[in-house]
Amino acid sequence: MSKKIDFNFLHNFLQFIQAKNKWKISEILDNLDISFKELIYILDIVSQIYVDFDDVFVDYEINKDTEEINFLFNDSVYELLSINDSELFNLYYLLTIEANFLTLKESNKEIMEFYNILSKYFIIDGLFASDDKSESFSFEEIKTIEYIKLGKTESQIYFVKPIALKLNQDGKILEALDVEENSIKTFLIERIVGINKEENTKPKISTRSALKVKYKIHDTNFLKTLDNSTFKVINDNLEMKFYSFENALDFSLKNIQYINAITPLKLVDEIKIRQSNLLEILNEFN
Amino acid sequence: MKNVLKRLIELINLFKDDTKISTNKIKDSIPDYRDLNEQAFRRAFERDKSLLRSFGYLIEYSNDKWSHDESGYTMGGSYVFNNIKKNEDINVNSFVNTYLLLKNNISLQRDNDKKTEIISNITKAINEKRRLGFEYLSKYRKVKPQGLRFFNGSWYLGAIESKKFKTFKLDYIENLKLGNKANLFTTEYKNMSFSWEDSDDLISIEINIPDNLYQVNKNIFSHKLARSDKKDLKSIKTNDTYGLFKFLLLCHGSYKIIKFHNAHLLKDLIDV
Repeated sequence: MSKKIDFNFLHNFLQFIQAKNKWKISEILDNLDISFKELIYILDIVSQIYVDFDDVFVDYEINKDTEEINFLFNDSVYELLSINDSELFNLYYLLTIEANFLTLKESNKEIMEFYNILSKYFIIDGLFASDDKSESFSFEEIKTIEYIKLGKTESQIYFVKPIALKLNQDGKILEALDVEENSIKTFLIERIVGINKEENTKPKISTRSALKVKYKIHDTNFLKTLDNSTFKVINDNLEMKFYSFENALDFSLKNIQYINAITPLKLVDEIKIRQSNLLEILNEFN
Repeated sequence: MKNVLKRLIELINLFKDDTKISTNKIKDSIPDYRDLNEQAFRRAFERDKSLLRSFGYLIEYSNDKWSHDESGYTMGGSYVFNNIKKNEDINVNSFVNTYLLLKNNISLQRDNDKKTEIISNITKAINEKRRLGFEYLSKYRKVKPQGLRFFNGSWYLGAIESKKFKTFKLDYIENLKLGNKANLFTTEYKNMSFSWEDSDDLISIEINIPDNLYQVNKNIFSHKLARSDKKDLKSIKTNDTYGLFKFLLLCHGSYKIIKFHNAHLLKDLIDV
């Protein structure tokens, strides 16, 4: 299976096909971006689901001549849809702060209505509409973005083809193909400082190299904020791996009140240099 | 895997009516469970429950000793949607279609199980005005939840504890329990300020910094920004000393401070 058929996919599949009883096979494959083999695999699962005292949940018949599928749905199929709070919460959050969706919300009556309904359930403070970016991401055209990498203070230009907008623990993320390197990369939306500027004047420096960092922990409660799979605590020290020096530096500075880097020396020195320089600056204002 | 996916859909379908379901009914209703002995059924059910939990569907055992209801399992985690379905003023089909349309455009990576559960329970508690009990940094708290606040990449619960408004970081909340009684209080705090935001601003700073760099890092600290005609000249007021400290370390070498009131507050944080 090239595509991961998981519970979420199955749930979405059922939501999608219930719209009508007769489908062109190609229509399903195109819309759900799956192969015929994968479709058969899913149909095999859904046709073995039994509900309400052993009624078949979804029955189907494939017409090879017309390349169509006829479905027979149990009433439960139409009632199955359930949307969990966390998903609605994330959508509400995105519609409130993400410029791309703000535009979508304002120009689409249904989305505005959807947002207004959710606003009765979620009482949230501290969300501000993002700054007015006149351009938005297009998923059809290759564009350039100006991006300030974590741990850096200068931006770099990337030629990208956007793939998806994601929301995860790091925040809002643009997943895109870096056209020059032909690799898929993720960009934190809040660090994209320019979109669609055609000139490519600044050289791109690749500084990617795995880095293991050891920290002294000042506040053990900080560990509760980390994903368990990303760290180890050995002899009371926190150990983490970063994919670049810049990422490690960014993380170390953002959490400086809870943890202090002990190794590698290069990172410890960089943090000390930054603090010493700041102290010098502050001394001018006594 | 096929059988697991099948059972998950059957379980969701079983709980669609939002009623309590006994263990025996669950065993009888799911064909794969029927022929299992008690121990094997328990194991399979626990595994399926745990998997559903990871997708935001919370099957929980409910045994309220004060209520006349029978004990049994209920499915939580969809408080908002279940309420929307019951509301006659809302066009549920249109709501669902919009949801599907939005889902096609974005990929919502799942939060971890703990956060999914907490958000769901807090949403329910706020809407039904129920008390919340939880362990917070080794202390048990009982609060009246008022709302959520997002700050510097983290979510906070705004709640009243012993008549005082307080904020609690969601990451530190453990063993969250929902009170049995609804409509216990009113929600009045629309503005979930942190306690240190209420005091007068301690630090004021005038700084020359590239606007791009400021925009990228500004959310690291809570502050007020005065209007300025010059794009790169920022006049900032804040009480968030650690936040400002981190902001200046992150923007190292790219700014020039012109004025700094109460610089000693930041100097106290420097460890060299």
